[in-house]
Amino acid sequence: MSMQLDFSGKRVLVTGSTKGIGRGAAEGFHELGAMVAINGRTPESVARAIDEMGGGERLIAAPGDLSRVSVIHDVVPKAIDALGGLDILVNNAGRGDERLIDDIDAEHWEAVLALNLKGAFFTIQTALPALKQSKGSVVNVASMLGVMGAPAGLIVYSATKGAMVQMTRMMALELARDGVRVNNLCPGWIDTPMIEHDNELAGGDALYKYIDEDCPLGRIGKVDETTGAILYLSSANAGYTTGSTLVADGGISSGR
Amino acid sequence: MDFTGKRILVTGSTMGIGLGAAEMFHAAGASVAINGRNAATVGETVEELGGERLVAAPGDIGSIEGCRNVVETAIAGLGGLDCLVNNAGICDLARVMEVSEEHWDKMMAVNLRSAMFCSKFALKELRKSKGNIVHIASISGLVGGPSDSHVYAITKGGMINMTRTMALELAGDGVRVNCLCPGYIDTPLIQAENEATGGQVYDFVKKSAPLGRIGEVRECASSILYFASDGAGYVTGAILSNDGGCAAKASWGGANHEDGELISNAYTTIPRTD
Repeated sequence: MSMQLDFSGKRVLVTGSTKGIGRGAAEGFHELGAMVAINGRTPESVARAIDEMGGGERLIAAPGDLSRVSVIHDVVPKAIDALGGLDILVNNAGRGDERLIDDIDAEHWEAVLALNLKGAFFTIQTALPALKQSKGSVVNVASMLGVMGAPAGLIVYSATKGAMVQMTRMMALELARDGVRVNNLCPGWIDTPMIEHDNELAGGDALYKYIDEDCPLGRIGKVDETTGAILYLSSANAGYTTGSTLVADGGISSGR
Repeated sequence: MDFTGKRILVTGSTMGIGLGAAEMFHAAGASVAINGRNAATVGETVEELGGERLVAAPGDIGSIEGCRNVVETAIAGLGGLDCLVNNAGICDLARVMEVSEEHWDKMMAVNLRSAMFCSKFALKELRKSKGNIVHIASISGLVGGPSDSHVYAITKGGMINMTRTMALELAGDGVRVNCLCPGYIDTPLIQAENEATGGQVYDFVKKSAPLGRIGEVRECASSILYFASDGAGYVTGAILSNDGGCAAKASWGGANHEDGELISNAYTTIPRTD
């Protein structure tokens, strides 16, 4: 067998792909020959990402806020039409705002659930006819906080990610006989603009230092490393892998 | 276990596992607040349990305001709170393509959001009493299975991991948070389903649960009392299965193999359950 990854002719939708982990995955698929639909909340951010990736026919703009089901029902079919079908869906859009339990209100709960969990579910549901046709695959980007707890401030986030891990198992079983695979990637601390921003807020590289101490591998993860995992799970090499939860967290969820 | 003087709220406690837990807490000396959507049913339950050391806290925890009202009524009636059992939940069925936004929102609100907000509204008292929270999830939150209860399983998976983060966030307050994952339990709902199918449910469970039988409500109740007791004082963020061994074999649908049979034979004789 060939371990060489080649996505020539594959049609891919990555949600939340203007920056961070989603952007990395979109670039990875694109470099390996795929046609990729780029999604972000605003048309401007999507256009900029496509421009930075060099433009061309194999990049499709699919802007829209996927925390609203009506937007999903508009954006996802359009993206699939433009791609001419769908082989790979990466559900990556998500938010991780911190809030202590006493400050969690209805608005916060609904906003985090809407994007991280409900958006992912209805994106898959909307894309399902196309995925059944292609015998495609889905990668849900959850988090190490889908398999372990966080010290404070992330109760709602971790509930959505734990639910996503279980959603992946359920979907994998329901869709197995259709030949559609569904897997989970659970990233740990990854060097994205989001973490860079948090580190700046903390001051004195406090967050980066904490990560280096906390993580068994002794360092923050690189976007290239989550990209590698997403491309692997989406490839024929992972053809027998479904319902699985792959952690890319430098060993944190194994225990420290 | 002695719960004399302890004040307990069990949501969804007019029937099934919730009622079993409420009865057992009450018999062990606790004051217990009973909750259900229907005030008359709550009244009947309070009466059946004997009236004393019982508080009626009817209300629908499907809305956030409902959660607040139920918890505040319970705390006012009990004079504080030592343990909150988030048990109320529903299991409407739908496969992936049948899931409507309405179905999704209802399941999330009743099964997951209610546990979050009842906990939040109970916290002030739980911090005072150094009390604890028990979430009732399900085996379907731990392993995948027959897909009709798709969104139910998603809510329970969320609840399991919410237990971990809530336990860590509240550890500094001395409030413990744990989670029970029941499998097939002999509740009125299951009994009705069993009767409606001419005994098929019990037959199915007998074949699929490694212990070869359905679980008793009192077995779940005693797990809940254990979590709530001082004996579990060092237990927080724990996920306990009470499922006759189903989680261990990662299946709440597949058949057991016969006693003494080699596993290679067993697998060739298990009928497919497509």
